[in-house]
Amino acid sequence: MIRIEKLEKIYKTEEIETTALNDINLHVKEGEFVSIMGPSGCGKSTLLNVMGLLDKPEKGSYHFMDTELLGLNDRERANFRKRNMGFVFQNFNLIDELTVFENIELPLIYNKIATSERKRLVNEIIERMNIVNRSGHFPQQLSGGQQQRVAVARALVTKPKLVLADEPTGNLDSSHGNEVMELLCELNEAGTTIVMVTHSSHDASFSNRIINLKDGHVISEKMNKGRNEELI
Amino acid sequence: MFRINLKIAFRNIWKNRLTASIKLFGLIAGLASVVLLVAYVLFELSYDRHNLNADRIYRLHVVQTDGENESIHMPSGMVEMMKQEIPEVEEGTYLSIYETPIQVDRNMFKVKILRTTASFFDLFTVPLKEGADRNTVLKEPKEALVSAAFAKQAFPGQSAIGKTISLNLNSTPYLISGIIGDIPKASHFHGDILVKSNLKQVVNWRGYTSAPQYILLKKGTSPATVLAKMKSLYKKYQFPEKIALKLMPLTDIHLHSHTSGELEPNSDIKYIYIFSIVASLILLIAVVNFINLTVAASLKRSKEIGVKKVLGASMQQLKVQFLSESYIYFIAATFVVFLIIMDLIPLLGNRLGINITFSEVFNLKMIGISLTIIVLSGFIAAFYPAMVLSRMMPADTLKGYTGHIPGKGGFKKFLVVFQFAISALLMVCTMVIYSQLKYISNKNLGFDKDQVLVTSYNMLDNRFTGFKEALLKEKGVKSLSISTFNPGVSYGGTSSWTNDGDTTKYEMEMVYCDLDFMKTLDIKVLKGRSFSEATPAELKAFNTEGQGLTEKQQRELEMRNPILLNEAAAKSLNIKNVDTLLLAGGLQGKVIGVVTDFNGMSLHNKVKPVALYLQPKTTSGYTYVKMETDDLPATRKTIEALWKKHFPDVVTEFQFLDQYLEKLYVSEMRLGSIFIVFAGMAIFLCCIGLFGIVYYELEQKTKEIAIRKVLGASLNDLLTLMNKNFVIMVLIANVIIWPIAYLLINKWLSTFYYRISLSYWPFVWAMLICLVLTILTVSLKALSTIKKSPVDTLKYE
Repeated sequence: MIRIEKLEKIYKTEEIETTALNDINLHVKEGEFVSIMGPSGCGKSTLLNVMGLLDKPEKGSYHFMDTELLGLNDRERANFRKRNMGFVFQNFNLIDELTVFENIELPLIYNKIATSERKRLVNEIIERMNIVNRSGHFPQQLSGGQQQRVAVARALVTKPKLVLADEPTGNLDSSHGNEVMELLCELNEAGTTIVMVTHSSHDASFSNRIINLKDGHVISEKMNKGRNEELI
Repeated sequence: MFRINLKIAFRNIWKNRLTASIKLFGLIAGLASVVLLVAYVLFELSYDRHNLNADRIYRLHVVQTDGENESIHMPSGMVEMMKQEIPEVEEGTYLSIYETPIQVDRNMFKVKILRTTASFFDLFTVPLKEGADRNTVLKEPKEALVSAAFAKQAFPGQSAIGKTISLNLNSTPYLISGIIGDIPKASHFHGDILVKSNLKQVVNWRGYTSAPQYILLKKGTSPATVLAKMKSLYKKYQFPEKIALKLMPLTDIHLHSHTSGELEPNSDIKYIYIFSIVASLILLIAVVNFINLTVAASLKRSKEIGVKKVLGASMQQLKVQFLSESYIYFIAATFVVFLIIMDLIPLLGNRLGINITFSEVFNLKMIGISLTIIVLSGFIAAFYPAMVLSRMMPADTLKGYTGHIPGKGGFKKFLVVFQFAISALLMVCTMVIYSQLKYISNKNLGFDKDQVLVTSYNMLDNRFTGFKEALLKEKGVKSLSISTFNPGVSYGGTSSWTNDGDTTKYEMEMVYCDLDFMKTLDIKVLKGRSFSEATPAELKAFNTEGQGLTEKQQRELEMRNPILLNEAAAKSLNIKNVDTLLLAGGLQGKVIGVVTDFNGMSLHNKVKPVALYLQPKTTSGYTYVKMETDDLPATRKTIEALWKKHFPDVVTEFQFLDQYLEKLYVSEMRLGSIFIVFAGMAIFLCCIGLFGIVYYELEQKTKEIAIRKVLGASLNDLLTLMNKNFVIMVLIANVIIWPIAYLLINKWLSTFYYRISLSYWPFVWAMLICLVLTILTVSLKALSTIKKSPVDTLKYE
């Protein structure tokens, strides 16, 4: 599903250039759950941003379902993103001025889904995520775990082919963190491809494959046996 | 989507109530200033356009073909002559207007009497409301038309038609035959009572009328055609050499005509330009403020932008969102502006000394132009932030509140500098204008204008002696005099001549006055002596007044006629010693003394040579009363009462001489008034903007401040840190405007012959005011953040 080749990303400031990604090659199959690990500053979030079309690399190619995405302009990128991808962030990134319901509804609005259909889809996912009684609340009225549930709900409401998660449990305590990880596993089992950036090997153990980055290079790739057997 | 954006917008405004209201308030202040100035400028431009034939009406001017002199004074028959000689001239009339107090029943009214011809109504659009018939109007010599406003005042609750009013002493009263609509404020002339004029219609260049003459051209005629035809008539009607006719379009009179005989003080197109520029500058400041505050505020919203981008919002959609958010402010501000403008217009009118109301300036054009300006500025103000914000990369914005916007704040700095530059410029101008006005009012005019009352022109009789005696017995009255000198308008007479064998053109202003004139106006004698009763020759001259003398004796008497010259006159005639005999132009007599430069006209021009003539027994002219009292109003009342007692049939008006002279500088005072208001507005807007910027800057720097505090920074260190950049920006702004302000203000000052020399103080003051306000604004806002405990701040971060 994803084929990344010879990807290079450089951050420039007035004085220094930092190579965040250097000659990255990466393939992700449909239905896979891939974890990207590595020390701080190794480039894992940058890689995720590039995969989510949130950032532009300098060199390389990025095929998604046989479409080359790197040549797209801003509008095309936005369109592609909203149709195919969902995002979950460490800091949830909910819009403070919108209620839970409205936050989840937002991607559907950008996808130009009719109002009644929007309502149905949002209610469906709210129920599935077990946050029905919170739908009228504003993000700051929720606990971290609840906020992340809303964020996951928002990522899933458009039924994306790929979910990109950036340290989804980073701001949560372990029990809430586990809940979120279980949620992602369920999704994966239902067929959604997931790429997750994480620091925690506990979280990574939920995935099929773990990719280790250091200084912008892929230094190792490891299949997660337990999970793969489960999958089989 | 629109609904959800609207929700976000309103919830955001509510969440940031303080900054949102600063933003809205600044916008309201800025837009209100602009709408006010638009209203005022449109009002000035609308002069005389209410006349349906405005584009075909021209006023006759005569110009010197080899000089700059332009005048509306010319022989009275000009219009009649043109009507006969030039078929393109359809109609014509003239207006002779004077202001006088009149008595109706027991009440006094100060009215403007307009003497004109029946054709008045062919040219000027003044509706006949009641009574009089359009075809027969102004045919009778003792017929009067009165304005609706005057009719209502003078005859409350009854019809004015059929009533009589007397306009002069001992003359047949006029019968009111009709009521006319009031002449709009934006007209270059006004009148309360219209009567038929009986001015003799001759083209005789030995006598000029001061009544301006107007012609109406036939449709499709260009003024050039008429002027071309006039050329061939110059000889026939004996036009003096180098004198040509000029046609001043009616609608240009108010802003473009500056002759000495204008019916009412005109404005100047120059001021319209200045006001338009000031309006644009204020608008720019307001727009810049808005941009600064919006961009600063949206830093806090970078997460929202990022999330929306991630969720698939296109740049276009985000742009639309931010544009519409800005428009919420503009719509709200516009709404408020139009609500408060109704009260602001009369206020502004008051400051400018023009009595305008909202309904007089409120029209579709004003609304249209104001709205266009608002929409356009709204677009600019909204567009820049929308562009900047929608362009941010989602990956950057999602990192959250980084405090960096594209452009690194360089543009923001530029905007702040720009705002303060405008404010400083307006402040420097305001200060110089006021210093000049102060200089004018304190300038030694060669006579003392304080505690002096002056009447309008009166032709009195021998009762004057009794009045004078009674008045001088009053406490607080020092002296009294009568003369032809009309302050700021004319000295009484002019004589110009060239001597044989000499090409120099001499000009002399002449004042005819009585013995006490010098004392009353405290005019100092520099050389020789003043007029005195003790001199037998002078006494004889004014006792016999030349009656029953032979021509030779008369001549002798004339040669002993005492003349006083002001310094300018003495210099112009090259008179070094007193007791010189003069026989040139209108000057005949003996110079007995030289007095200080007596300057009774506008200080825009150099003092003129003035000769003072003695007319000891005169009873016609302007009466001056010099007081010496601590209670001016009471003394004035006594004087007025005495006048009424001695001249029950002569209504006159006493005015303070200093106030009378101030009227010469009406447009300068208007300029000053506008500048002080809008300079204040500009600096106020700058401070509001600064407050907003500091507010957001502090949010970005909370952590930095906390860390510095932990490391041992004092309150002073932190205040200096916060102020430093702004102080530098303000200094730069001031330095930038110095040359511009210097050039502009020097240009304005050069319109005065007597002017202050430009010092560096206004520049220093403007800079100090900017600095103090900046440091106050920044420090006040910064203190609360600085005082926070660093522990809380760092934990929060």
